[in-house]
Amino acid sequence: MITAGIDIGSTACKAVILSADGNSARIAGYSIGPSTSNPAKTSMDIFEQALQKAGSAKEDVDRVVGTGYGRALVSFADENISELTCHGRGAAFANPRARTVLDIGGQDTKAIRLDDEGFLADYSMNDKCAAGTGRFLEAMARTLDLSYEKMDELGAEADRAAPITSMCSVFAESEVINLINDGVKASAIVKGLHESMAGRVASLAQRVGLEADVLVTGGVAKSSGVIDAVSAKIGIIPWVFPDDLDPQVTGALGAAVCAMEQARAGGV
Amino acid sequence: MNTNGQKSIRERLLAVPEWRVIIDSNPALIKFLADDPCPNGLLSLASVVWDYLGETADLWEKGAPFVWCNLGMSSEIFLGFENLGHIVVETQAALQSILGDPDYTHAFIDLAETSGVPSDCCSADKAGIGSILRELYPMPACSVGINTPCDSQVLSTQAIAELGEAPFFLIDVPYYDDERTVTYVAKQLEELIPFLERHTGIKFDWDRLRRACELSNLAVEKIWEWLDWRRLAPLTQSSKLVAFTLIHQILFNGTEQGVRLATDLAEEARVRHERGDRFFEERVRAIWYQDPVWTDFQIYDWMERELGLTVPVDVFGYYAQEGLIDCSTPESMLNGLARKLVKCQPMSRQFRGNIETYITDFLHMHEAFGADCGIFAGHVACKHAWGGIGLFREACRKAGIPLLVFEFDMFDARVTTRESIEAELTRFVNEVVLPRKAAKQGRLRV
Repeated sequence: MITAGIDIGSTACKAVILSADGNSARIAGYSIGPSTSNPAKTSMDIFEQALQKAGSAKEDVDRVVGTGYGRALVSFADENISELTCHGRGAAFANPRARTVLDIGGQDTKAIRLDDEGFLADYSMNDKCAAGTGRFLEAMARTLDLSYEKMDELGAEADRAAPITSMCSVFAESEVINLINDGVKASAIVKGLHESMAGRVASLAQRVGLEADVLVTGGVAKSSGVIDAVSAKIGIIPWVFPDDLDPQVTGALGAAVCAMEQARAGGV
Repeated sequence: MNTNGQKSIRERLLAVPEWRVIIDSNPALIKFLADDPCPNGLLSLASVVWDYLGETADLWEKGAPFVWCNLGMSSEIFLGFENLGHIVVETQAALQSILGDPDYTHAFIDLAETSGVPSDCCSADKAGIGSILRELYPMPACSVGINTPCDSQVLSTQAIAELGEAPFFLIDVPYYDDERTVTYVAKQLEELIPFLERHTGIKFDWDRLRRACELSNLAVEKIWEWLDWRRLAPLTQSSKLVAFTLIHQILFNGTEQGVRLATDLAEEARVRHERGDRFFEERVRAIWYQDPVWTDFQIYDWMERELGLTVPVDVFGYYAQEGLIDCSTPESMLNGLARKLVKCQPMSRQFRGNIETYITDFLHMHEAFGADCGIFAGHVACKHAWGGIGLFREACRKAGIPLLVFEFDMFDARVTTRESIEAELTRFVNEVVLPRKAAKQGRLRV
């Protein structure tokens, strides 16, 4: 059985192809690309890329589930399921011991607590402002004229963090500009930004009740600086994704898992 | 016109838009309820409110003295005085939300804020103060303030004391709810009686108080009976009815109307259950903890219709076991009234004092009503409930109870839109509660 999950987020579109045999399932392929102004076409393109990596064809796919903010635009999906459920299911698939999922996406940040069976037990979302999201990091990278990778490098070198006190991305940007003008080292500013984001994420996490294993998912999970800062804030080292699984595809993976469960149940 | 050729109180009230919209609502409500799947409780509410308005207008018309108080006060003691009117200053806000136009409540809130009340104070207090500033009530001969159901009421009591321009009596309810507190409050009630006699010119009648307490007990027993019917699954009566017990509490304790409303609610629940009447499929039942959505009661209909989400009980609808008053002696009545004020009045019981009562009551309701989850509809200004949210969440986690927490304002629809509340409820029900419930029943998890 082959199923697919498509996650259309605010900054990236992700697709995962899941291949199931009996009770076991494995990721056959996945693909990530930037979101565009034409989500319907983008989702199809990314889906095709993932199929190609999996060595499958569209007609081989038994069921497709769409998720993410643009899920309603995945015209070829059999069903849409929200990103909360999909991130939870994806995390539980990646690591069955996962109890807390911290998803730092482009547009929102979510803390999800899973129960022993992998069901959503609680969640908390920051979906009203960009604080603590990928968008925040993106704006700050632009202000500092640095790539994400360079930010991680600089943050690791920093001997201190310049505190960023503004939660609001707009004010934080002004604060960063002031720090640059005051001659504060870029490394200290970057470390301060990472800690600022981590503070926001930790606050959400504490609302749902932190419990190991903790998985940090979403595009920002690829930033080692943010991960280190989150780890320091919550006092738990997050589970490390294996090299062959990108934390950014967790939502799409969960969608594919949901599709698989539905297909097994006879297509609900 | 009255005999002196002046406009009667009724005519004067009809000229005030805030009163007119409530008065006009009665025939409109009856017409509207003709299509409601569950009208009897609502019709009974409309009927008793109509009686209350009529009686208040009659007292006003004949120049009877009035007493102002805030919503933590229970009305029985005022009923010990013949021809004494009493006004709970939050009445206009409550009636506008249920029967009138919530925009008037918004206007009260804005008026209070422009008059200097901080915007982050509770909207119930702001609306109460705004309605006083709008001069919607008969001026009082004297006023009574009480520092329940929450600290925020101190604001209302100060406004009553200042704007009422009349002698003021404060009832102080301490933090703890032990017997010492009950005795202390009973003593203050005893002192209140001569205060009211002195300033209203009416002699207190213990037999009238006994009658009021007996009626109060009858109503409490009927509310318990009603809640017993609402425990049964599936719920066959509208969820929104449970929020109306606040109206019962602030306007009808110790009255015939209170007994009638409680009886009608219980009877409707019984009949509907025995007949198996259902107008929605119950998929999830929740204990709605914290404040109802006063600004838009139709959201409860939406919840039932779209999500199969029912609310058999909420924090206002829950009447604890300390509600009965021993009517055998004057002392026992005052003690019973004090105990009711401290330990039974919805919200006063949970929001004043130790958070453990708040949490324990929720866990009890969750079990007794066979709920699937809890919904903490967090009134933005309620520091009591928000102050204990961490402990409340922790208790729910330990008990394995899914809990939705969201912010809104019970009297100010401008804080959180209905669409936002609907989105919160939809996400919680569909993504947390139903999958867990389905899994327990061995069905597909997604």
